[in-house]
Amino acid sequence: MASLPEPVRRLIEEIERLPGIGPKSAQRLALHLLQSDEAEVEALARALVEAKRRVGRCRDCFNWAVGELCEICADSTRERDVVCVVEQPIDVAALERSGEYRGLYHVLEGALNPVLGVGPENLRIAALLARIEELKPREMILATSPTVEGDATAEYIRSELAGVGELRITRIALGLPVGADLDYADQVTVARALRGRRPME
Amino acid sequence: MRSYRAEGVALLAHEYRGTGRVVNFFTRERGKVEAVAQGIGKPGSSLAAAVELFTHSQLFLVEGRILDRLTQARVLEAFESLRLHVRRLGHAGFLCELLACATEPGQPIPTAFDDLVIALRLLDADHEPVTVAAAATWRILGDLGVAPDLDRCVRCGAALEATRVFLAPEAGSVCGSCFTDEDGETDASVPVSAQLRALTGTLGRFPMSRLSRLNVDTALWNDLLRLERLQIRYYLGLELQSDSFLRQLCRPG
Repeated sequence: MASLPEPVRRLIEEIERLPGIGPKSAQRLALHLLQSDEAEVEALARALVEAKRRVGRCRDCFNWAVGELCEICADSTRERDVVCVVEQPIDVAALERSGEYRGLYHVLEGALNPVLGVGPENLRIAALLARIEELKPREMILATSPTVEGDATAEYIRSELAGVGELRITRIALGLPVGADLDYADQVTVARALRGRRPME
Repeated sequence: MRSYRAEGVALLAHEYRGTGRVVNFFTRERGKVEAVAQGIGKPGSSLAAAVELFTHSQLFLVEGRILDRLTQARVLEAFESLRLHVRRLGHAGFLCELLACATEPGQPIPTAFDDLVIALRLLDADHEPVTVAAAATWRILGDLGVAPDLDRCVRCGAALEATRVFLAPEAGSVCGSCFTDEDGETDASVPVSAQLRALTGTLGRFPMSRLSRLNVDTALWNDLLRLERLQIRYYLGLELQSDSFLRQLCRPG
């Protein structure tokens, strides 16, 4: 590293701080940037700074937003009587890609995790309860991940909202992914898929 | 690289290069093992179920220079009902975090492993979580060789018949003659009754699997749990995150 000019060393160090990037990957990316057109590198730098400066959290749902409300909350054509609860903004993007959902979202910014000390107070659960009280939706979809943490979070929210008016609380379906080979699926997934079976229409 | 198999429980995990996880397992054969499991976040991963927190699995691993690599796994017990009861999950987390923080890699402690698995089984089967957590913690502290001595005064060394109080900063209990008023007023002390001493003695030789046969008052289990937490904080120097999780669950809405 000592043979590299100081700005390059700094660039490698900064890239290495990103999650999932080791020293070798950082060197490769730094080299790629140095060999790129100046205009490309400037565009990347501008995009980084602009995203950091302009993107915040939506006042209502805590999704990423430019301004006070995210595009979904600000969209008057979205169905406002269904709220889908997810762990992270990236999950909103995944659900939007499906094209199946036209309601609102609520981002918890994590999931309950006893070992990491993430309790209900560390998530946007109080804000969700207040929002449900205000919006009075007919349905709330719990779309947290099918992990121990995601399931526990969904169950905790369900118990907090049980018996609230006419609210229908649903959980996204769990089971085998499309294209999966039954033979290679683990027994927990197969058991859940069997428990979640439904009549064929 | 040498491959090996081990029976283990997933204690904690964190993300690794996108869809991978670095998982801490507590295994019967090798104690704590840190291993990479790749592709866990992708749908259809055959390893994903085995690296879920608290899952008991048969693991197939390959030794690595820094981290081992999980290549295959078969779930033995998923303890699925823990997901539906946040308090039970919190106590399971406490036991797992204790083992994750208080043990070193490569030090097998088969008795602690067995105690953990039985405790998870009992929590999963709807046994009172405080009872299971207190009993299992006492046994695990004993397995680790750090259970406090409640039989001898930490100050004068006299054998105790009627212990007054357990003092966390001194990691022991004091007799009536050594006891001062100040000792009773600190937050880091727990009164030690004859019943509590009898309970700890029983737990040392009573199989965890027969815990439901013990007829013990809830208040006594809570005293034991408090004593254990103080021992963990003062003697082991550990502030467990799961404690803050459990405290949040106790706070009114």
